[in-house]
Amino acid sequence: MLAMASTPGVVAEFVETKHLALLDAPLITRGKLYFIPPRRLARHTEAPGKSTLIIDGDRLIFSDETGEQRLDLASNPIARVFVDNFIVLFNGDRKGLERRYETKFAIEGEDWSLDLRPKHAPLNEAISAVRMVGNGAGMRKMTMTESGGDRTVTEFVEVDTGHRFSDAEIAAVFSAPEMTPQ
Amino acid sequence: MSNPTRRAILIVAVVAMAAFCASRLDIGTDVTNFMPDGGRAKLASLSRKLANSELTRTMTLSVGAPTLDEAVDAADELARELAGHPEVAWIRTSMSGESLAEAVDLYFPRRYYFATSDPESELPDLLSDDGLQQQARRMLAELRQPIAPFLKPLTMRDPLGLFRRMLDTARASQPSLPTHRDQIVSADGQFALILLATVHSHFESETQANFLDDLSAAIDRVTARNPGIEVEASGANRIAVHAEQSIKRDIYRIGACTFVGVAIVFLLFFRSLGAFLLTSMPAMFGIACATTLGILFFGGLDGLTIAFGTALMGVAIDYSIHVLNHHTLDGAGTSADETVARLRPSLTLGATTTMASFAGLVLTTSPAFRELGFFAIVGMAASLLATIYFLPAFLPRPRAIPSLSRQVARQLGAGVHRLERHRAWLRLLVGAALIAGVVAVPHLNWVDDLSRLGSADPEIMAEEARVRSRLPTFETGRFVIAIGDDAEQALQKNDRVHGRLSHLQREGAIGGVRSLHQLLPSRDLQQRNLSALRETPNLAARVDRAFHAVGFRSGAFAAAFEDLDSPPPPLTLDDLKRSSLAPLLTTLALPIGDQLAIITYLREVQSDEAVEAALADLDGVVFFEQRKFINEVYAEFRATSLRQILVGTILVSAVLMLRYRRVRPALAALLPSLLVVAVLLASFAALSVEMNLLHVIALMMIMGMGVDYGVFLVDSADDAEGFSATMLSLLISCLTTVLVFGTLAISEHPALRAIGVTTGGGVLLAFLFAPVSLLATRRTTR
Repeated sequence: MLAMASTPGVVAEFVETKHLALLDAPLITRGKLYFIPPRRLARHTEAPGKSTLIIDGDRLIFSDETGEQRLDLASNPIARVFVDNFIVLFNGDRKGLERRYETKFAIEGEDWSLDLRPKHAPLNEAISAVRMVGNGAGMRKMTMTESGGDRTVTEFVEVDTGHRFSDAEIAAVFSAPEMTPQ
Repeated sequence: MSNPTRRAILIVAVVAMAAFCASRLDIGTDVTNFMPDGGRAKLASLSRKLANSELTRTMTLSVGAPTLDEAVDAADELARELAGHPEVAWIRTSMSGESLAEAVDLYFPRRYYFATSDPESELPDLLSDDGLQQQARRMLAELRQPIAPFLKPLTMRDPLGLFRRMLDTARASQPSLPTHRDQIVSADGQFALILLATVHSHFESETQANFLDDLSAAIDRVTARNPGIEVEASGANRIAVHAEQSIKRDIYRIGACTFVGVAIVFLLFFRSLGAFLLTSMPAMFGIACATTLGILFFGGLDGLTIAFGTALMGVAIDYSIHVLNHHTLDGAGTSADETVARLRPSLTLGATTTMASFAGLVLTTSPAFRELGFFAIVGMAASLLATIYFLPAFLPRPRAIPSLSRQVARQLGAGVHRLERHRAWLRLLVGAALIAGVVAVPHLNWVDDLSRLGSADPEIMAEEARVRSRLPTFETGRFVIAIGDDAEQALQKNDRVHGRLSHLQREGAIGGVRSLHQLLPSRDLQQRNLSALRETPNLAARVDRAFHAVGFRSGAFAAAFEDLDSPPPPLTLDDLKRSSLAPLLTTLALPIGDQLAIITYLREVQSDEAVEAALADLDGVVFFEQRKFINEVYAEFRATSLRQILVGTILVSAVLMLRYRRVRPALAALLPSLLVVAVLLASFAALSVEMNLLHVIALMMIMGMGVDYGVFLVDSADDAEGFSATMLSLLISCLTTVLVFGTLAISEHPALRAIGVTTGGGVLLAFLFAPVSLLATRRTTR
């Protein structure tokens, strides 16, 4: 946690696999994740379609081929809950984590695992458990299990936990790209 | 009857009537009373309700600071200062009050009813194979989003995305209000904005004045704690309070001049300040009688009726001045009763002609005009009664004739006598004046724009414009009304209105529409949507096929169509009234009489003509412009008043002929009022004065005075001393009227200036034209 909290920035490629009861086959998404503690996160997907999720303080921007949505998290409690619970998974805020989740930490050799159960509504109505696996300051895999049984597994590769973002990089990563509506 | 008895009767009667009126008087301010009974009166009633609705009770406060964060902090402080104020109905600084949960409970089960605004044309595309595949791909993209787990419970039961469409449509109809740290801010991100509504209408000036003082104090406190911030405000109450305070200051200033001037006149000619009170007494008795009988007959009186009727008593005061002046000049040898007995025929004729001039109003179709006519007739009759029977009981025997009165009376009489040699010129003058008046009529510049009667403070109006520009809102002065005999009929009309306006919005003729349709289409439309969905062949199977083609599991959405088979009943107006959305209905659905009016608000109307044309063929639908409508109401009031002047003149002529039975004296009595009107109208036309309703009201009053002056002179023409005394009566009456009403000509307010100029100039002309008319019409003079 301390290592995660003290990192200057994180860049990681990810492969997200959603196992949903609604679907015949898992939904696979690939992209890149950028994180600057304590509250700046950008998630750019490249396949199968382009989308961008940016969380920057109280600002949330989501854009894909269908359009763009901007939210002031201060005025949207549901989105705020989601973002706070999501961000806390990355910024190494142990106290914040323990406020929101029941935590169980284990070490196996050089690997660690962190099992989380949301404590409060509305998160615990949608999510039943989150399992994070990694070593050192880097997370390797995150599995989110929903209350209905659906599961999202995100695997992180090429993880750079000591990335120092330049101003140009920040401007490029934390701004919503123009999308061509379909 | 002895003097003490008469005095006691009058005092008891006035006190009793005043007590009755104070306990029962319900002063209305409903402009609809001035309209003929009928359809337009309903629209006026609706206009009045909307003028007093939350829309006009809402204020916007704008907080500026060196940085937006400082502005937000200061706005938060100010909102907390104001939140507990008893006059603040609600205060809003954020958008987080919107309850999605309530919307889901109310609308999600009914999503099939709300599928489209035009199922016959929109559903085929939506439910085509391409449409379903498009929706499937959209849903797949949503499932990839990180917040998908929160959306899935609704998504699973709504593969067609109908609820999402409803939310998107509702959001798109509202002007976007950006926020920063949950605080509403201006579009340019420079100002934090606070919205609040007052409990009482902006017309309740005392309450609003107190609230605005408290608001100002709260702003001062917050500013002191946050140097560098600037707070500006907009609200109808600020304009109303400022206007009233400005008029009050004006009236106090003018009232002081009036009081001093009238005091001087009465001191000069009667050597008594109490004389003014005595001369006012019959008029006050007249007002008390008219008000009392008006309450008994009508149940209540309109504020304009009381205001106008009270002003009309300015005519009645001339009778008591006439009596008091003759009594003073008669000297110690004549009692007040003897003076009144001699003047009774003139007083009776004067009052009768005034009553005749208002008789026509009683026969109009407008409730308020009937009230006005009743008030004027009863008031004048009661004033006459008080002048003849009660005033003498209060008049002291004069000790000596004031020398100034005697000298001025003699000079006036001699002056008129000298004019006899110039009768030919006087006849020419009379003829020229009448012709000038007739010629002027087509050139009169009538302006029925009510806004021109006020004098809004330019600084306040500039601040209003600045603050309003920071918050996109719907216009409150122009809207579309759909009226139905019941809720369903009104909603069906509203559905059609929404369709037409949506088309205009797509074309860019209007910027936005806020309509009840988005919350509640008609039952008919809801049923048509449901039926169209149910009747779509193999819908469930086709949805399954389309979604399966993009990766959904076959049968994943079976449960969704259970709601289609057995939905809850369609949403009704009563359902909305019971929900948390009920407050919205206060400005969207209003009863008028036994019908229901549904209001649609517009934003950024580029072309009124386009809106009118789009709605022209819809029965029971009106594009309503509040300002234009009110101006039309006042134009009708003006036109009725002008017709009344004509009718009144004919009736007055008949009364004079009945009394005098000869043309010359009847004409001599009538001419002053006609000449006054002719010269005033000619002057206004020559000077291109913008004339309005208030000029007409003042003309009605002046014409009454002109006939009275004519009657008094005709009746005293055969007695030299009596004639001189009457000329002095006219002079004192004229001076009193100029000081009481004519001083309004120096007001800052166009409305008061109109009354002052017309009354002041008119009464002076009446004083001049009364002897001129007598001389011009007499065959021989003394």
